[in-house]
Amino acid sequence: MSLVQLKNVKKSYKLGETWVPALRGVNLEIRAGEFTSVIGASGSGKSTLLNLVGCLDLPTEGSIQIGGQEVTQMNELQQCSLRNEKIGFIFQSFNLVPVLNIWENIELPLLVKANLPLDQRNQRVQSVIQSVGLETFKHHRPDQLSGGQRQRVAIARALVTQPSLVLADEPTANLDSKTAHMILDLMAELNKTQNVTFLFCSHDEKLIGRVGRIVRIHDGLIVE
Amino acid sequence: MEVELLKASDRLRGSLDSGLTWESEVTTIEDGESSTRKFKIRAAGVDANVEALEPARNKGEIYLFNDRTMWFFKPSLKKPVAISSRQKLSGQAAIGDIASTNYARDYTPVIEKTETLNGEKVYVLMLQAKANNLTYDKIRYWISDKSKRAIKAEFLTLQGLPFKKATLQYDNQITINGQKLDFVSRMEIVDAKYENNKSILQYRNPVLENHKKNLFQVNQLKR
Amino acid sequence: MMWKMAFRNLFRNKRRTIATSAAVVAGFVGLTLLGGYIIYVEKGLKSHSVYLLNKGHISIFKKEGLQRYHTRPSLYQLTPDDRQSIQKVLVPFKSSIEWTGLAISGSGLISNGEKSVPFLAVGVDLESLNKSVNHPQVLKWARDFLTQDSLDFVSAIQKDPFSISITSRLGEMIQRKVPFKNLEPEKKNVQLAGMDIFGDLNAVDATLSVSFSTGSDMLEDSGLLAPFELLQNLYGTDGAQYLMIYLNNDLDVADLTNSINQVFQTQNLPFEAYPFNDPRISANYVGSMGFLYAMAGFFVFLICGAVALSIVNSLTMGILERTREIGTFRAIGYRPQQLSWLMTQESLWLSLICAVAGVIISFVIGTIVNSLNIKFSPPGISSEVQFALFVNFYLVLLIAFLFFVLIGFTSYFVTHYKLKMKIVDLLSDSGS
Repeated sequence: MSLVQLKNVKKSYKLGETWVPALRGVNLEIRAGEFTSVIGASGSGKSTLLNLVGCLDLPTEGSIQIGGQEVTQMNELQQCSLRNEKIGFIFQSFNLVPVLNIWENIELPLLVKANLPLDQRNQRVQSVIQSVGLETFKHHRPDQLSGGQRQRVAIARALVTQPSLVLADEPTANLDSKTAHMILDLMAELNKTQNVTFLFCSHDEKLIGRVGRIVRIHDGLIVE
Repeated sequence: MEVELLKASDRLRGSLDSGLTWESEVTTIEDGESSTRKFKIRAAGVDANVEALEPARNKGEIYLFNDRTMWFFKPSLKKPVAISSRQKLSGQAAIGDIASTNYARDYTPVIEKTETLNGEKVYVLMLQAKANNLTYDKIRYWISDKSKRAIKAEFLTLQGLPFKKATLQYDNQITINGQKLDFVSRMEIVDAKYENNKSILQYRNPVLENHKKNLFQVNQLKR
Repeated sequence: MMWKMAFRNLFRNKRRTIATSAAVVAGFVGLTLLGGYIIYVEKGLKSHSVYLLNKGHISIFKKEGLQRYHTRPSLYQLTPDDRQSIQKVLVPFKSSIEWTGLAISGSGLISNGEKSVPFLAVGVDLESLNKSVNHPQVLKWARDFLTQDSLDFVSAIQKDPFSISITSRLGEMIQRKVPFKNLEPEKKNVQLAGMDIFGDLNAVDATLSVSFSTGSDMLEDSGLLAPFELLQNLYGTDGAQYLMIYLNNDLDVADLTNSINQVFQTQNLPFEAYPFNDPRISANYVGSMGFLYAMAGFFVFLICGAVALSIVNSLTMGILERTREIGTFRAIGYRPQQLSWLMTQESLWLSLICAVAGVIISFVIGTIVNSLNIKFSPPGISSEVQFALFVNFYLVLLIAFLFFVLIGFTSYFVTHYKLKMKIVDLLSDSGS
């Protein structure tokens, strides 16, 4: 069954007086449990694609369904809920909150609705922090960690709400190759053990071998 | 000529070098209410001793006119109080109205015009006060050419507007060195704006009398 | 945790936080001290007006007597029967009333036997006078208007019922220098002359005992305080001009005045009650306070404006610096309102810290200024008064509340507006 379905999705941006098409009619299906990478050159539209899937933006045209729900018809509150409960995000620059320690950073998404009892919340955070191997660093601040460790925190944060889909935009771009491989391995392992669907974009062809599916995008269109 | 006119009219209102005594009854009608006061006035030259006789609550009070200075005294006081001749006595009458007048000394007269009043030729004089402490700043004064009686007066503000008007009658007579002299018998002072408010001063029983000098000395008033 | 995060965010840019705090603290201190000063002046002027100028908290006159007493005193005085009627009306309000007194005022001439000068006199009954000058409110707030002589006047009257108190300037005008107690008995004797209620000139003997200050430059040339009975004697009456009511609590003034007037109306009694803060009763108090309140209002507006602008500036810079972080919050499901609230909490923490610091600094400044005992002569006031700064607890709470509300609203408004950006735009921003 498709977890993510895009039908004829178009997205254009206005630059001054002209409209620049970023996506020119994308059709894509991502099934639950897939470990998929969107590969393309810079400016090909891969980040735009991920933003639309993550409800961070809305398409100019077309339909996007996530878990069977049409996101283009949702209001802001519904989109926030969807992002919080169903989608996890991993960013290129980690995007950790510098004034919070690791535990608190990971806990952040659980506080949006604050409907989880404290002990359950702690259990979840403990679980994900263990899964990324950072238990001994839980009281450290982000500026006390290496790049790889920070990205692992970001992964843990993305997983703490037990989402069905994790989106990662260039998760290894700011890491050295060794660390990049480690992160990718971690993501692959989590995909297998927790059955979380991963969709990430990268321009690094060297990482292709580790993914289950590759989607190539060129000039705003899926080519493969 | 104006000064002589004034001097002559002053004499008919009690300004005599030899002493004079008379009684005054002041009836005041103000806002429909009436009250009466009686005084005994003893005058000599520019000095005067005014003693209140009635009503009983005022009996024994004395107003002393010593040159241009005025004093008030009552038996219960240890010392007299210096007051102004403008001080209200009763109703429209000021303290300065009740005693003898010395307009010739106190005012600079100028003849404004002549008129005929009750068949008599009358001079209309404008009197300007020579000092600040006088009863009135300006007076328009009607004096008969023949009798030298002051028949009518208008008391004016500094701006020259009348705030009180008076008419005088001379039914009294006194004899000085064998000569009969008219003496004022009645003066009616009316509020220029509210003519129902008035004071009527009646002058009775004027007699020549030599007064001791100490009658007019303020230090005699101390207890 | 949001409150914790908000607190920690204050230390992200210490320099900016300190600068913003300095503005807020300065504003807080300014308002606290200005407000404290106005309260001090208000209490001083009120005590002076109510007790030392013998107005009482409420004054009761014959109907139209406030305006017309001096033109027709016989018609507009409160006779003994009138006073009895008034006392009957006051019975239900007894629990609010500390005491009542009688007063009469008038003009005349004061003479030293050689020269007379005009006076404006107030005659107050001895009991009222004694309670007024020794009242705790006066001793606390209007001490600058009290002299030892003022305190001695009561015992002077008790020894000699003809004792009067005049201002030192009036004394100079009749060639009597202070202290009057050093004068020979002959020199102490003066006469008071005036028109009685029959319209006749009257005069009484009096004895110079002590001097006093009217508190007003305008009245310092003619002020005279006399025993109530002495002025009754001078003006030939057993009546009073007005009856003063002194209350236990001055917060009751308005209500009580209205209630008393209602009873007068209902019972068709020809009396009127006026509160002390009626401009016709205490023009100096009302005028001075009006000016001070207007000035305070202007400063509140100015300071709140400055504080609001500081917060706007600080928050705007904060948002610019944390744009990507805000985008991250939005991405993981936070609504714009939640983020506005987070940033508002930061401002509220700042307000709290600044309020505490502001109170401490206000206390320190107040203590230093008060210890210096700075004296000055305010316009229209004859004596020197101390420039004193007090921190009023309730005022501090009010200002803190005002700041919380102001800063809270400003923060929410700024962040709410700023956070309406698209998430992708937030995430792609590099910040400053």
